[in-house]
Amino acid sequence: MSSDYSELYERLYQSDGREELAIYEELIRLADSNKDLPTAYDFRSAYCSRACEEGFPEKGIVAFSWCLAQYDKDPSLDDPYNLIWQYKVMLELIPIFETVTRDQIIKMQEDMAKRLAWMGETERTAHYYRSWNLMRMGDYEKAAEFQETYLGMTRTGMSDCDACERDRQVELLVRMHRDEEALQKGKTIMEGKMYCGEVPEFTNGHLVKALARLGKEEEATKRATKGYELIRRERKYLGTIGDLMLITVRNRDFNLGMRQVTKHLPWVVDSAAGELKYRFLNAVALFFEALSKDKPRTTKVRIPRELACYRKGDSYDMGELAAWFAEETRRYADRFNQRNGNSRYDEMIRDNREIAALD
Amino acid sequence: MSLGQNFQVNLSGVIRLLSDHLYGGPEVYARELLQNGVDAITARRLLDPTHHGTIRVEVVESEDAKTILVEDNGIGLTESEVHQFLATIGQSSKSGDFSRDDFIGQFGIGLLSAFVVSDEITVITQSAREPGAAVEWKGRVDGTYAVRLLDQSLSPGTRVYLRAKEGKEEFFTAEKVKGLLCHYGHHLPHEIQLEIDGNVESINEDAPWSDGGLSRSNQELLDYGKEVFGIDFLDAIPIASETGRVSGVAYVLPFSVSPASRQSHRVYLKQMLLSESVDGMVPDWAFFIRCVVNSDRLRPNAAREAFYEDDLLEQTRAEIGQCLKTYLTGLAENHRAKLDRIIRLHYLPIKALAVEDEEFFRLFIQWLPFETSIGSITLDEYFSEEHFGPEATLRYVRDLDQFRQIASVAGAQGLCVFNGGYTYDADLLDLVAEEFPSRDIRAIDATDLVQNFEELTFEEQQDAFDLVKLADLVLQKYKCSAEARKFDPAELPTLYTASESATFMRSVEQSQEDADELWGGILNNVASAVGNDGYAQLVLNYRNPLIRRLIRIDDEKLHKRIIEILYLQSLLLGHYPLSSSERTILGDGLLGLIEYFLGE
Ligand SMILES: Nc1ncnc2c1ncn2[C@@H]1O[C@H](COP(=O)(O)OP(=O)(O)OP(=O)(O)O)[C@@H](O)[C@H]1O
Ligand SMILES: [Mg+2]
Repeated sequence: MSSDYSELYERLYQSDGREELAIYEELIRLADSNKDLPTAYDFRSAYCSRACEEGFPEKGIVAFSWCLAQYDKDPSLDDPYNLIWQYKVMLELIPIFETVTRDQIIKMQEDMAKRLAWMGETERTAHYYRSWNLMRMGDYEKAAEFQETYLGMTRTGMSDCDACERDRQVELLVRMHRDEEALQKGKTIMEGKMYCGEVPEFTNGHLVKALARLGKEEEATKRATKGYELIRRERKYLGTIGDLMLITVRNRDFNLGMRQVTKHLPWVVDSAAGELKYRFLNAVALFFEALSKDKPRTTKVRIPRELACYRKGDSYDMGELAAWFAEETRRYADRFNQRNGNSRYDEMIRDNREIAALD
Repeated sequence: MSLGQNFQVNLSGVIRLLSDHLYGGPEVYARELLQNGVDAITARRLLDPTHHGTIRVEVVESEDAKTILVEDNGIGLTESEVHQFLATIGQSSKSGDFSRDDFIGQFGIGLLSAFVVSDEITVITQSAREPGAAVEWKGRVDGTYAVRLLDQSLSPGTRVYLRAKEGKEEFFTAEKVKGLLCHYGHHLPHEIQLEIDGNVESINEDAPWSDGGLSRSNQELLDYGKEVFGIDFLDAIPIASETGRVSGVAYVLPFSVSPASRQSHRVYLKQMLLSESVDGMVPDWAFFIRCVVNSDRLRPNAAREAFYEDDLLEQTRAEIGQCLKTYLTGLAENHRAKLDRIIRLHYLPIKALAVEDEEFFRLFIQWLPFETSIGSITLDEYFSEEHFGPEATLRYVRDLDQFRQIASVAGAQGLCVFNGGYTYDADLLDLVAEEFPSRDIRAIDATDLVQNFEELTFEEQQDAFDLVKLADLVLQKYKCSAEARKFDPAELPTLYTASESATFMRSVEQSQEDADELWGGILNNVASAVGNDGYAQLVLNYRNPLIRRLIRIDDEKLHKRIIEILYLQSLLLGHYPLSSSERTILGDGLLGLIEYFLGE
């Protein structure tokens, strides 16, 4: 590696977050201008993983697409397992963009299935993603069927870890309102016996909904509090933060709620992932609605300037703010409904109102 | 149901595994023998608190053999205890619930480390509990052993004899043994004597914590740190933790270190050196600290090279962190000069702590330095009357790239833009916005900054009108607009700024060059989710002589070429790689210019 890289490399190890991504971007530019394909590939591949981890999936997808195209031209650039592993991450993220069509998601999922088969893998992983994508697109019954199928097959080296698989099962049950079963399934996760890098982080968001609906107030609050501690600094959990905030609203904990809104609203501004924004915006809308019913109408709030509802002077009418955020939520819901060809997102809005104890 | 069969264990294999692979190196045999002696004395002192413990080590070098003897006047062993504890791997007399906290040993495997340097271990021992004949035990590396009763009784205690095996003689020289004893045992609370050729010397040295509290002066502690680490530390801080029964000294490094650097703390367990490079004794944020500590309570791992990661250790770490925080807070109140020196070197760990800890944040935030387009500045300075005043707007960019695009140009206008691209900085600035709602703090894009450059007068606008209009047109195909402003340095003809999304769009286009239909479509749709406020602009510097001359020339074809080249050159200056079409244009443009000059 040339000395040009090594100084940046040094800095890479000392950084994280946006700084780390910026250094990768510079490394990539350097490798590109040196026409150093293998190095450019390695940097993009690493950048892709880090960008997704840091909550910028769109950057990851762009880098991955480049890697995939280069790999198809020259397979010696990467270990196929490595590539597929990254492909899995892409497939997980792609449905959260409302602008990506259903057809594109299915084609992408089947493209990966073909690659897996070509490597001699069983269809388990392909079914896993079929189930995942169907769940995200609101087709719960079919998603459950695929889940049944993959659970009946032997795990392979391409399978997600136990904890992740369990998380998906819990999420599906919660979406289907099978709350008791969800808690049953999620028991080992709740007890801390089953975990991984993203579990229970993601799972807490599903579990609190089930707990709240079953009236287990104390447990729901405890889980929401602990869960929020775990993820409050990580943008990739913006959606889950929204889920946990439903409990904040349910408890009418306006202090905490205002802190959460102020802290995470700026993330909405430069986030591209519609589904995460939708979940968070929905919680914000419910928060302001609850506030407008309990407190004087005009309140000071820090709203980022980039949002159209921003007002100079920072004083807002809570009812108006609630309406604006509800409208934003609606906008995303409509787009997702249209993409998915159903009305699950309306259902989720209704569910969230119930969990937030409004009406 | 009973299981009738016993496991068969290949003893020599197990011994080899434990002795060669568990422990760090052959040297640890000395530590393990010392440890057993210390524990034996501890056990005897539980019976008789007035007992004065001594460990005596003798090195005997003869023509054909090097031997060492480690003798203690501890509790000793009876014959049945010899069978039970010495001869059984994994059996320890110390693992019972009672007073397990008193002993250092606990696993019942330490003695095996002697087999790394010796093929045979001979132990002669006399129990302090039961009178009777002394017992001799010989154990061999092949896993066999023999026990016999001697025909006399000795004074209570234990002697362990080792004879160097071939190739391991170096660990038995007088010099080496002395080094090892000092290394592991210099702070032990019992007398340690080394006898060589009839001369006896004492190994013991006072530890900084040995008199309970830390009664040494700051300078003495610093001297101790210098002796132990070979570093002239900035400061020494007494630290303690009730939970881990820890006491010791934390030192502030006199140079900056990376957060990823390994922390190496010098750690003693019940006054015996555990290791010189223990990680995880202080919270993650305190990576600028090296410490020397003794713990009477934490549990060692089996290799006895680190502590076992449990709640106890976590709690201890937090308590040590609290000591460090109290120290820093104390400096803030009484020793600003010292604090400033520490902040200058260690602002990273201090920022790391401030992000995590609200109370600490409030106390320190105004003194922490940030990188800006006019150099390093603290918030205190920024909002002071001499600088920008308490009402000033604080602008920051979130990303390093953006900062680099504009820093030098902004600096030249005297505009202060904070770099929020470094780890912790954007977080801290966001927190400032939250905590001090009256301050006007906003994240900006590089493109916003141009709005602060000097506008052209009406006449100047008229003057530059045609060039700017043409540039806007020419650059349209690059999704870039043109504008004229006046800015410093005047030598710079153009400045290219792109918002984050414009930079992102460039990367999308780059990936699309090779993407197939499916991925091309996906990229388009992902890009549309980011939104097309993707905005880039080329700002022509009206102060620049070249630009002024360009305005004078009346040749549209030449203008077009030069504008493209200026644009591409600004991209290159900003380290943007050119797409293949841009490269072609750059090549064509240069050729065109050559032609133009030749034609003249
Ligand atoms: N110098 C000694 N005096 C008395 N008993 C001893 C002595 N050395 C060893 N023993 C006995 O032999 C046992 C085994 O010693 P060994 O060093 O292998 O294990 P340990 O000290 O109990 O635990 P660890 O593996 O943590 O060192 C001890 O538990 C102790 O009962
Ligand atoms: Mg021992």
